[in-house]
Amino acid sequence: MRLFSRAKGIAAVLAIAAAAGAAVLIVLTAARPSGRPLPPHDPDPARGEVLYHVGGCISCHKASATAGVTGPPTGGAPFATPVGTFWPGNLTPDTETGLGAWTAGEFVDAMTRGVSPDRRHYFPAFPYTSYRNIRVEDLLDLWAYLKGLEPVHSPAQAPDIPMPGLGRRAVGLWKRLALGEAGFSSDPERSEVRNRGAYLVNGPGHCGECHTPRNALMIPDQSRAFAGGPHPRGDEGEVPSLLDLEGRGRYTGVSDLTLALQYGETLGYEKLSSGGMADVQMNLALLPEDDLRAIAEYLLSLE
Amino acid sequence: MSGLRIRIWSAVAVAVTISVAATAGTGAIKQRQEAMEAVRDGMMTLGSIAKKEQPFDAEVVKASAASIADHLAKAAELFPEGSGEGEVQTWAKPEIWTDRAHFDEILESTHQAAVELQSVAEASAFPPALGKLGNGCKTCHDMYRLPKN
Repeated sequence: MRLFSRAKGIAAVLAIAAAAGAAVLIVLTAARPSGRPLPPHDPDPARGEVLYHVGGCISCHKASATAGVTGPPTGGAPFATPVGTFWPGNLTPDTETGLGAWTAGEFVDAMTRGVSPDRRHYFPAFPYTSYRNIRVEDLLDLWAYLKGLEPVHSPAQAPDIPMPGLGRRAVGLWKRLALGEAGFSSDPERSEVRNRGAYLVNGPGHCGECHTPRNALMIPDQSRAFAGGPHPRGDEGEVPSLLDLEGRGRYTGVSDLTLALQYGETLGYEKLSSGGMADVQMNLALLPEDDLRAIAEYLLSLE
Repeated sequence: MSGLRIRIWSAVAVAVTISVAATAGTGAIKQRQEAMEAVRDGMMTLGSIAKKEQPFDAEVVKASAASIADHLAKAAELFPEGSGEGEVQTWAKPEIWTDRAHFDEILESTHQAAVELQSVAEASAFPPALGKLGNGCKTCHDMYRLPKN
């Protein structure tokens, strides 16, 4: 009898501990919007368009695997990752299937916190891990650009991954481990051009998503930023290092690398066509030359 | 006896059909390769402006882009059905004829990029406009051209 009640007591304690643990986990893994008000800003869709190309949004959000980089970002093409296949969503302002019913705040939360309007975690295949370094004013420019696109009806497909619900919870925990401080701060010691390049590369350009190696938890190892490593898709070999590009004889200088980013294979820079860089380069081709020079100047300064 | 005759005549007919097709293919292949050479010439000029080997000159850009646009406007006709092989080597992939609508769509958007490039008046607007044309060339070559070596 006594033994029984003792066992009961232990069971009760365990149950309470489990419930408390679950409650803590639910709280820890919850997806919350920031709740912060947006700064006053007069958005410029033309500047937003530049960010759209720097980010190469269309590369993942294109209509089909064979669509070029100039079509509308309706989603529809599969995006394969080691976890499974994702189907990036419709970025046109269609009310039912796109961003038409979103608020600017919800867009900013998606981009900087990886949280959807219905309060779920996005998988980091969507690189908010880098986009959270984008200035809010710039996000509002990008938002204005997207809102100005022709709305296209194109429902998104659910991701083809094991246990997506639990996975999203796990992403909540992963974010706590993986995400350091957000935002970009200029280095006053460096030139304005180099700072612009650093911002474009580390924010909208999200170059580190592939060029920075990841640890066992798939967290980018910032101590080896841009050192290259295995391709995140797993079967495409190595992503090259971006360190010491000039010293290693990859490019002769800023003009050379600018031309490579700008024109790629068109001017004979065939390396810019391998392992997913072809899409990246075709997006960069649409940028103003000054921004490409800034990117080149920053990249060549990496040691 | 008559069976053998029919067989011989069918063989001859097949051979004739193949050689006629090959000849038709050969003509189209040669024509489109010449057109591609002309496009390449235009791209060389535009490329040397991109590399700043020669200064930006709106008239030169216009002339080169117009020549490219003219060739691209006619390009679809240079890939008729059955011209996937001929007496000269071609790098055209068979998918051109199985994904015809998509091929034509890329050709048209590339043509459009060349048309837009013609009206570029300022040096700062030149790189993205040429980039867009280059994207069209590259997209089509990646999907519909066999590797050259």
